[in-house]
Amino acid sequence: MLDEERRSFVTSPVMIILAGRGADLQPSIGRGLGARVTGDDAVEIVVSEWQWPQAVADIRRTGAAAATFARPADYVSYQVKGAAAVRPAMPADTALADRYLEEIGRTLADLGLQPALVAPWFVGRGHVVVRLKILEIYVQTPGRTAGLALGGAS
Amino acid sequence: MTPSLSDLDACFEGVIPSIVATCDAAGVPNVSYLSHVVRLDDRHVALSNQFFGKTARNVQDNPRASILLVDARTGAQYALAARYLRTVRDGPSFDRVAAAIRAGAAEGGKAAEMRLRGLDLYEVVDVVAVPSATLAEPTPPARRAAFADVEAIAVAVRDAADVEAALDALVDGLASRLAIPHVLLLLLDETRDVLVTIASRGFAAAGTSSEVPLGQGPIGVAAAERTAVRISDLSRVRRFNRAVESGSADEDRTRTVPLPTLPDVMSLVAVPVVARGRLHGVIYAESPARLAFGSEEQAVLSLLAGQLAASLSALEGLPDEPGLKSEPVPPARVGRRIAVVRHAYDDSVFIDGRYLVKGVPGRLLVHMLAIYLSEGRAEFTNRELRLAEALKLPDVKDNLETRLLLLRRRLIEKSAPIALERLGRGHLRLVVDGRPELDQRG
Repeated sequence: MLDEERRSFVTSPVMIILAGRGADLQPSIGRGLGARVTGDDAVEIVVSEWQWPQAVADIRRTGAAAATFARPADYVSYQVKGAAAVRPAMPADTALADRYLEEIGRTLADLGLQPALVAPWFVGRGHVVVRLKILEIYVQTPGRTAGLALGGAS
Repeated sequence: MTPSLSDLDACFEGVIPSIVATCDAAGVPNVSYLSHVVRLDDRHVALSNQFFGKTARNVQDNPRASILLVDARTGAQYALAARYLRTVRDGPSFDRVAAAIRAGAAEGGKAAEMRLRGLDLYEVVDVVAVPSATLAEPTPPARRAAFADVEAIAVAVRDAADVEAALDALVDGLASRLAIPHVLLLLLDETRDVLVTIASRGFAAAGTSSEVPLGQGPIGVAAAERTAVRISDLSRVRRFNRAVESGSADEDRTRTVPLPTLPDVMSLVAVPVVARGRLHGVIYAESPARLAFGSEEQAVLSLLAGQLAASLSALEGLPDEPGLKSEPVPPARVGRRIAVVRHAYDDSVFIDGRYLVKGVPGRLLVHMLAIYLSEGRAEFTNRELRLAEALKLPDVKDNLETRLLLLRRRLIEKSAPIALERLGRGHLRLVVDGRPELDQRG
């Protein structure tokens, strides 16, 4: 479901936001700290459970998640949805997060956002990994094509 | 401690995008960025949904939503649990957000895509501060306006003896008392539906007589909608575009004066000058700092704009002072030739090949020059100008004073060999240094 272009997009320095929801259908929000794409059309997103305990708890409990990847320079965005699970972070995941933090910090600084301003959004502790098997993918870039389904159920 | 929405001013500036998450009836979440979150009161917010159809559809089936707000000064994040109530398509809140979106879109040149379709109202049931390891030191807010300073400016505007003094009292007061040094004052020319710069402070060029069409950009939108427009963090692209536009105008070729702008503008605010529904013009300020103009600065500017509008209305109604008429003197036959050319189709006037002004101020100058040349008379009264058939003065309440002021300032700015001297309220004199030749072209 992810072509080569979108694979490289989600692993480039883009903003990552994700949502879970409770049994009562109350949604919750978190931010990602870097992502990778695995062979079987899943994305793995590093998340700080310390900072986003509700979103991580919801995803762990209900297995429902959505994630949007947005490029800060031009707002090009994609959203993926699917069945998710939470697993502990391995050293490779922590390394991924470290690399992401460095790259996204530089990207945002180039756009005029001070490192001190964006630091609160990226917390380097309490890492877990949300593994999301992609069932649906949508264009989310603001404009006429927003919401366009690229694959999967609509 | 649970934060209150009223403490979260810097989250509602539209600088750092907010995030909204919803969930459909089947339990599939949706998460997207939002351009505008508006605080309606301490328990309600409104979201503009120009594009995100899925969010709008989800809340019809399941009203529960989560909204993440970011403080634009510190980066602090707040998670709101909210319930969708309803969508409004008109009313004061809708108009305010629609105008803000149009102003921002006009800056970026994407007006058509950015039309506000509806404003979704939510009740906020919980606000939680998101934990973080660090918080940025908040940028110290600009000195808060003291009531006494605001009053002092209002009094100076109220008591001004004439239009020029009222305009100057305002722009000078903003700079000296409220630390708002980069200001333009534009007045409406209702004959052409444009706003014309009449006073300015703090820009590289004064920009007198530069124009903004009604409805265009933040200034034009503020005027057309009669609502304040604020932008707190112009993107680099927009700043680049503005820089290109403002640097490329050649007055003599384009017959337009470029609108002044700071090369590094980050924030701007435009406030309409309105009294009893009548639009007089716009107060416009820029700053190189992010978030320079908050809701308080906007409120102060609106208050002073109201005072200015009242003063302008009152000053227009004053009768001319009884004048001393001096004897006509024949125009000089010696001195250097001054070539004055008027192009009838846009009333643009050039002096010695340099663009001066267009519209009614141009007609006024040519009218006075023609009388000076034929009768040798250099003194004029507002009353006779108002009554002059040849001037085709618009049948509006007046604005003659402001047009003469515009003309006088442009003559000074261009170091023209013709000057307009004010003798008293309603009296003026043409001072000509040379031998004018008037050439009127079709």
